[in-house]
Amino acid sequence: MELFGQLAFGFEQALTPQNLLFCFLGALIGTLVGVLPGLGPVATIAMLLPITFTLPPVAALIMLAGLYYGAQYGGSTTAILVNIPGESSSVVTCLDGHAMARRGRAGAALAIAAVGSFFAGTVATFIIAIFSAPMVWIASTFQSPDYFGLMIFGLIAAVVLAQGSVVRSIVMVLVGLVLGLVGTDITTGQSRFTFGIPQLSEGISFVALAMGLFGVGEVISNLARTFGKPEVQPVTSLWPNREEVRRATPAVIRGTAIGSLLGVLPGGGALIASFGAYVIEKKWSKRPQEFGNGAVEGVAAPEAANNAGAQTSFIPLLTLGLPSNAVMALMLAAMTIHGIVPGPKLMVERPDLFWAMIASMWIGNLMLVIINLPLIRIWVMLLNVPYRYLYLAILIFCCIGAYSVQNSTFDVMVMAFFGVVGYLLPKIGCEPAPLILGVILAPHIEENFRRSLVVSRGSWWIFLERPVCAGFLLVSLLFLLAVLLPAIRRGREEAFRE
Amino acid sequence: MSSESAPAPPAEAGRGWRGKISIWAGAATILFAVSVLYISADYGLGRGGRIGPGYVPLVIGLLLLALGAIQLASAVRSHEFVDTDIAWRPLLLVVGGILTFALLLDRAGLIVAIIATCIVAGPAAYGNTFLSLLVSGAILSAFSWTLFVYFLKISIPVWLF
Repeated sequence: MELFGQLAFGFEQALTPQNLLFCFLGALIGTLVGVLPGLGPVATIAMLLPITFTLPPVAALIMLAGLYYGAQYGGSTTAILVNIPGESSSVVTCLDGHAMARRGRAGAALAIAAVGSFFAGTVATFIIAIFSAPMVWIASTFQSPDYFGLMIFGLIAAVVLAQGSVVRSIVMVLVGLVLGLVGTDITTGQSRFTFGIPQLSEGISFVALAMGLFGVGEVISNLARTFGKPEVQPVTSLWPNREEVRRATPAVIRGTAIGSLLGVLPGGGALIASFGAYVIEKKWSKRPQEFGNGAVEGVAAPEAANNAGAQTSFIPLLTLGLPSNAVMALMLAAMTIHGIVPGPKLMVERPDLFWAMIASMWIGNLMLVIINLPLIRIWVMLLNVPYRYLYLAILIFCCIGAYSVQNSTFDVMVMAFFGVVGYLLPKIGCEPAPLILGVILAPHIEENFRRSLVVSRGSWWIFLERPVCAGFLLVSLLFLLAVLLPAIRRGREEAFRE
Repeated sequence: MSSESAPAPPAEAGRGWRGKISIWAGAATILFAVSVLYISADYGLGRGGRIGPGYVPLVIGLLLLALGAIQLASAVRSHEFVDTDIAWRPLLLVVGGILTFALLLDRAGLIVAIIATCIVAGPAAYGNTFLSLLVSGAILSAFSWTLFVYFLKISIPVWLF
């Protein structure tokens, strides 16, 4: 019952006119980002970070959270109608969603995706509310070595669950850790890796780095491709028929469960949730041959899963201070800018912020169903904006965003540098997402490592003597061994191929 | 080596061991690791329980060195090749546009910087003409001024002359 009291408190906070407005704005911008291919939530949140400086923290975080789950709604619209995944987590929705649209069932697919997402969002809101308290309780017993173990586990799991070569992803994490150490060492005052540049003494601007890697890098690779004129399938009736509802309902429930689970894991989030849900749905189906040709389950399950995963990935951030993916790393940066430290103390010290964020997620989901279904035609019209205008707007907003964090044109140049890095890294098979986790976690990892060694007088055994820490490190090791063993590696590659 | 013994089709003629991802990524990793170790060499490792500023960079540098070696070693069996298709025109023009913005903002102000950025970065996409870029720049600077300066009151030089 305490839970309902706390949720009610959250709704009270979230329902103020100002917070409602920013929840709406976040959901709206998120949908826009989701619809437009070539503009992802990571780059957009980075662009919007400076805008949120002038807002109160609660409103700012509500807006940024709305952007992430809003993007999941928008991404499905273009996936179904145009066969273009507006968002990487909607890639699998293209397969069956667009096939349904070709058969004249576009409206039904859109409605199932939206209502399924709303159901998943509702469940995920409750899951966050229910599981946060026990997580906080566990985390409050953690000491420095345990945090160190947790972060190592978070990074390793993120690498293992992500796509691409494990070795190269670990390299990316380590490179990120080095980049995160740039600047003046807090304990000793020694400046590290600054090359005598005064602007680097406070570290590399995280916003500039993220916008370079994800915003500018993506713009360059999009410009290398050509976009054809989109062929939009007509939207007929939005009502699914009885057969579709009968098949979609259990798929939505399964998708919600899988998505919620995969969202909590480090390295999880919307993307892996939608892939996982689709693969499982296809494996368990009595009609696997229908998948790819417009199976209702192939739309319902991944769409529910990506929305559930987008929301539950907030659990490790809010309760442990551990960002599980690049979007959460940016949310952590946003909180830091506003002077908020996520972790076990957040729920106790800032219950207004904590519960307002959770309540706003449900409100935002409700808004998304309402603004999306009737406005689908308008969203699709946006696809006709040629990319040759769009990318200029993205570049300008990135430049202004990078500048405004510290009023520094040096940061704009840093962004340009990481734009080149972000474009070239995938060419040698390296993904920039693990790098950004390393950058944001580097100071925390070093701090907990340092404190642990103070306690143990320099001996590394302390990490094996503390059971919690040893547990995390052991699981990390098992994860690593698992992916490096040939048999399991083949299975993992197959899973990603689907 | 093994890939060279197999007769390669003409289209993949340039894809010998020199094009393997493991070689390039491995070499880049080692280069980065050596730089980290070299730069942080005199940061101090600390004593006893008090680790110095060079401790963590040393650990990371050594780990990177090992991972670079693993990648080089795995090149023998790997069949992944580097994507050498680099879009120079967008790459140079986009970076040039951003640098134009950085250089002009403090000297000429936001409006000029935005229009100049559009003109420099614009030719990266086909179909943009000088006139269309001028119009895009004007619209974007009007929009940016309204949003960032008028509504959000971000301190940014608007017009310096």
